[in-house]
Amino acid sequence: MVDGIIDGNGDSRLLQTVSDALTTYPTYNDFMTALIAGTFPIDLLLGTGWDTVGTPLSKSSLLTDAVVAAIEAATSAFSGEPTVSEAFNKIVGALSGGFSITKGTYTGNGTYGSSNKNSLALSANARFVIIAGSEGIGFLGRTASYGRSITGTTATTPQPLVVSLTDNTWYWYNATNATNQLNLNNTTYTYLVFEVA
Amino acid sequence: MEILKLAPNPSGGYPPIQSWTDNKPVPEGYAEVVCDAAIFYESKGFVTPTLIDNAVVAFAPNIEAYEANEAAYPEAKRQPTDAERIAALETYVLQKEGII
Repeated sequence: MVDGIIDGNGDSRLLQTVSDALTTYPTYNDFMTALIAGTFPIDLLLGTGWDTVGTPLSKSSLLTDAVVAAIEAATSAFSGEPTVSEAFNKIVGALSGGFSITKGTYTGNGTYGSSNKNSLALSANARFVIIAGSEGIGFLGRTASYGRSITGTTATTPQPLVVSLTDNTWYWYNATNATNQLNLNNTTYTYLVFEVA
Repeated sequence: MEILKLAPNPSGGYPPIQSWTDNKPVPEGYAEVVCDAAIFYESKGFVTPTLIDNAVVAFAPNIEAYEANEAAYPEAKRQPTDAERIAALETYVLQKEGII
């Protein structure tokens, strides 16, 4: 990439506004009011006062479809259009043993039991989940029917989490209480998802 | 963004709202939550969501399902600590022997 270098003669960028600006904003006060409100329309154009024009920040210079396709061919498909960070994250995941880690949060609603399962929508590549809240932590595995939670009220005995999977939604519940189910009302839980790259 | 699973649990309550990456499409069977979720948590997920263009714009409490669930799954009582158990036993013995 090339850094842009301006000539410094005041001609590197130009402002252009709408053709009816004089009637829409007839006074200086109208102009400033619109400017303060963030409603005054402008285009920022490139002037001629450049010693060196920099590489534009665009899809073609940052992450082309061809590069995305090559990464997907070597790893797995992205969900939607990836950002540069997501593309690097997938490459790093592949380089570090084929795994990547993503994180998310949910806020518990205080219910528990088989009729009140927790659920998380995860990617098809998710294999293992760690959940942590103020009262404890839990573990879920894609191929395991049972996970475990270790919480404040049962610190010496891990509690069972009954796990199931439909499409890419993971479900779990504990039959005893919302604490063990990692679902205390209004409590934020953070989860880390280990995904194959 | 935050998303809600559109199919409720068998109890009639909805599972917790989860975070979702902004630049990824909302998964099938889920909707973005664009309104305040206070009623959702006050009702422990027993709500009726209002959907517009596959976005949740409001929650209304589902009191009937909430009360049925409260009866089926009562709040667990806090278990006494070991210190509380020992103190209760000491009190019982002292009272039985007429010391206090």
